[in-house]
Amino acid sequence: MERDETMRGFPPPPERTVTLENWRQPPFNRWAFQHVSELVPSAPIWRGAGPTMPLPRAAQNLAAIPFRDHNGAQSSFGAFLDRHCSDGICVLHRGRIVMEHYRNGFQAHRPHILMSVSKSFTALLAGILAERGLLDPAWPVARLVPEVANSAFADASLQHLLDMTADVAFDEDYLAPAGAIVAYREVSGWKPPADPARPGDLRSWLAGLTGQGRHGRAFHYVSPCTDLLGWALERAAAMPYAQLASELLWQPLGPEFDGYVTVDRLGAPRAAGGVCLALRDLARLGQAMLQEGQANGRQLVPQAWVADSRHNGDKAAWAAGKEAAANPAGSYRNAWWIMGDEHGCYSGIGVYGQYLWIDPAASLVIARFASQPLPTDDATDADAARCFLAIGRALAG
Amino acid sequence: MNETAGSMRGFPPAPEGQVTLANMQQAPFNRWAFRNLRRLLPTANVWRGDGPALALPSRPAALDGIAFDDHGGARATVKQVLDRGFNDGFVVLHRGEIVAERYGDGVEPHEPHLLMSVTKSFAGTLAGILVERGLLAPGDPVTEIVPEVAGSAYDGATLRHVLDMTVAMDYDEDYDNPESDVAMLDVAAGWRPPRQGAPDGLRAYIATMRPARDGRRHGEAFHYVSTNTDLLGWVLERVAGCDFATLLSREIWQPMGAEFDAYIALDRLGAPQTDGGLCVATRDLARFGQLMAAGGVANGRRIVPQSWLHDLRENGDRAAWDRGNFAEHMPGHHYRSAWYSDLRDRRRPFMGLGIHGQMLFVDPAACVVCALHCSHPRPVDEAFFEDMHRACQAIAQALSGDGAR
Repeated sequence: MERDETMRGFPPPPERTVTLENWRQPPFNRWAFQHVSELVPSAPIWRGAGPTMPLPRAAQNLAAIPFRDHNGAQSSFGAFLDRHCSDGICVLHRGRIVMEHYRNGFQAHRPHILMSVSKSFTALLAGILAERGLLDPAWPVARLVPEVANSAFADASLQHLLDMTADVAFDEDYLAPAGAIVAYREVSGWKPPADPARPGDLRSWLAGLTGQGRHGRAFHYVSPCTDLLGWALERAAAMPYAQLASELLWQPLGPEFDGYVTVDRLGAPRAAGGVCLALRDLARLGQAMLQEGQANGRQLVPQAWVADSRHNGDKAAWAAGKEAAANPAGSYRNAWWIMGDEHGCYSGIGVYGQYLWIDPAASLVIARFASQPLPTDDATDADAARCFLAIGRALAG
Repeated sequence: MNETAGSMRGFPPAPEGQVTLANMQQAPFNRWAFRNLRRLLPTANVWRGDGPALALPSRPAALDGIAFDDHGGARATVKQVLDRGFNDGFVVLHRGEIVAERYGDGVEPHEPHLLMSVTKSFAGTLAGILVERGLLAPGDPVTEIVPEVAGSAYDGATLRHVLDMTVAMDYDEDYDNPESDVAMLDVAAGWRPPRQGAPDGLRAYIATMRPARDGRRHGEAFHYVSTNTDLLGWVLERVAGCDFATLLSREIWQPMGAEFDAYIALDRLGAPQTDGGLCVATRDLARFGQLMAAGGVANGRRIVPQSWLHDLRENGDRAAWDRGNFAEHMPGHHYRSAWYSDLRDRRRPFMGLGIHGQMLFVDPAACVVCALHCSHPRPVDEAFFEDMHRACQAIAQALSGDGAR
C-alpha cells in the first residue's frame, strides 16, 4: 500500500501541506478529518472525571457479510470498507464490540470530524433541554434568537429546524465554487475569509438568510438550520454549546475521550458539522440510542424524544423533498435519517462517509468514519445503507 | 463581579467583550484567552494516554499566612500575593502531596491554561531525553539539523547555544512594542492579526534572524530570544521524526501520568509554538515539576535523564548570565537548557518562567513544587515576579523546616 505522505516532514513539502484552504479536499481530507483542531479553532467537550461506559469485546468476523450493491452486484462489508476510504469502523452488537479497526493513520484516541452526524448530536441536546422545560420544539426560533426575526427563519419553529422543513433559500451544493455555501464556510472559520478585513461571523450570517416563509411543507436539507438550532440551545441553556454538550450529554454518557466542536471567531459552534469525537465514543452514543436514551443506568436523552425521532417523521414533507427519489420509504426527524426498512434502522449521516447507524431490531450500532473523495456520492451512499442493513439482517439471524 | 466577567459572555458576546487575536494578550481579555487559547487558534492535542494519572494525595497545609520580605522590603504573605487578583491556578506539592490548591474565579481545575515561556522548559527537557537516546548532541551545529536557517544568525550556533539563549543575535524582545521582533514572531505564529510583509509561518520567521551587530560571539552572553526555542522545537521534530505534540505526549505526558490532555498552539502550516504555546492544567504542571524534583523519575520509571537534570542545575554559565539582559532584574541566576536556577538560594531551586506570571518553581532539596498560572495585565512586572518567587521560596523554606535561606 502506498504510504500517505500528507503532512509528513517538518515542514511537509508545500504540495503535501494541509491548510485551511485545502483541508476538505482529497487527499488532504484524510489527515485533516483526524486533526481538525490543528486547522480550526475549537471548544472542548469535556468527558468529565467519571467512569467510562464499559464496552465488552466479542470479536466476530463480519467482513464476509454479503450485500447487493446499487448495481445489483454481489459485494461484502469488507469490500465496502476497502473501497470507500474508511478511517475507522466500530460495530457494536448487543452492546459488545464485535469489530473495531482503524486505517489511514487514524487512532482510537483521536477525535474525527462527524460532519453532519453533528446534527444528530445537536438535536439530542435539544431533546434534553426540552425535557427540562428550557425549550419547546413548537416555539418559534425567534423567541430564543430574536436576531433572526427578519430572516428566513421569521416564523420557523425549532421543530422545523430539527426536521429540515424550514423554507430557506440556500443551495447545499458542496462543490459550488462560489455563493452562499462558500460564504458559510468562511464565516464558520472553515475557510480563510476572502476579505481578511471583514471576516464575518456565523451568527450574523445566519440572521441574513432569506426565504419564502413556507415552513413545514417540504424536506429541504439546509445545514445552517442546525447551526441556528445550536445558537438557540445556547440561548435556552445560557451556556456555550460545548459546555452544554459536556454537562448534559457527554459526561453522563461516560465516554473515554474529550470531544470538541469547531468555533468561529466569536465562539459560535458549527453545530451542524463541526463536532469531533473518538470512534468508540461515537459508538457509545449509538448504544445509548439503542437503549432508548439510557446509558449507565440513567436516562440521558428522554425516551419519548428517541421514540419521536424514530417514528414521527413527516412523510408528506419527505415526499415533497428531493431525497424521496432515492428512498421513498424514508423520512427525517430530529436530525436523524429514518431509513424506512423492516428493522427500523435510522442513522446520523455526514458528508465524506460519516455514519452513526442504529438498527434497533438487530441490536446493532455501526460507527463509521471515512474520508471519501466526494462529499456526497449517490452510489456510495446507497451502498453504505445497503451494506449496513445487510449486517443487521445477518446479525439478527 | 470581576472586571473580566464580560469576556466572551453571551451568544454572541458584546463587541466590548470579544476576545480576538488583536486583544488576547491584553487585560482584561487575557484572562479568558489564556485558558481558552484553543478557541482562538489552531492547536494540537497532547494526549495523556490511557494509563492512570500520577496520584497526588491531598494533605492541606496552612500556607496562606507564610510571610516573607517582598520586593520592596515590606512584610507580605503568600495569601496577599495570590489575592492580588492575577492568579488563575496555584498548586503546591510537598513530597508529592498537594498541600495547597486554588483557582481564580471561574477557572476549572481541568482546563489547560497557557504556560507562555514555561513551554520552553518542556522543550528543553525533551531535548535532554533525545540527547540521551543519541539522536542529538548539545554540540551539534543547528544549521546541520535545520539547513533552512543557514545564512541567518544561527550560522555557527550549536544546540547548546540555542538551549541556553546565548546565540549572538540582533533581536528586540519588547512585548509592549507592536513593531518589535517578538511582535513579528506573534504575527508569523498567528498570535496577532496578519500583517503585510510578515513571514508566512514560524519556520519562515526563524530563518530571518539577524546576527548580532556588536561583535558578540555565540556563547558569550545570555540574550533572551524566544525564537531560539521555536528553532529548538523544529530541531526536536526533525531528529525525532515526529510532531512536537506527539513527542511530548509519548516522552513525558503519558509516562509521567498526566491527568488531562494538554495542547499546543500551531501556526497556519502546523508548526508548533514551542517558545510559548503550550497549555496544561495546573495540577499537571505541578506533576511535571514533581517529575523534575524527583530527579526525572515518575511512577518508578526514568523519564528525564539524571545527567541532564544535573547539568541544567550545575553547569549554567554564570558569566554569560551576568553579561546578559536579565541580570539587572534577576541577579544571581543562570539559564541552562531552558530552566532558570537561583544561585543565591543555597537549596538551588530551579524554575520555568513565562510572561504574565506563569511559573513552575522546583525545589528538590525541600521536596517542594509550586505551579502558578496567572493572567497578570502586564507581560513583565519585575516586582510581581519577585514577590511570587519569594513566596515560593518562603513556602519551600516553611515546608522543609529549613530556617536558612
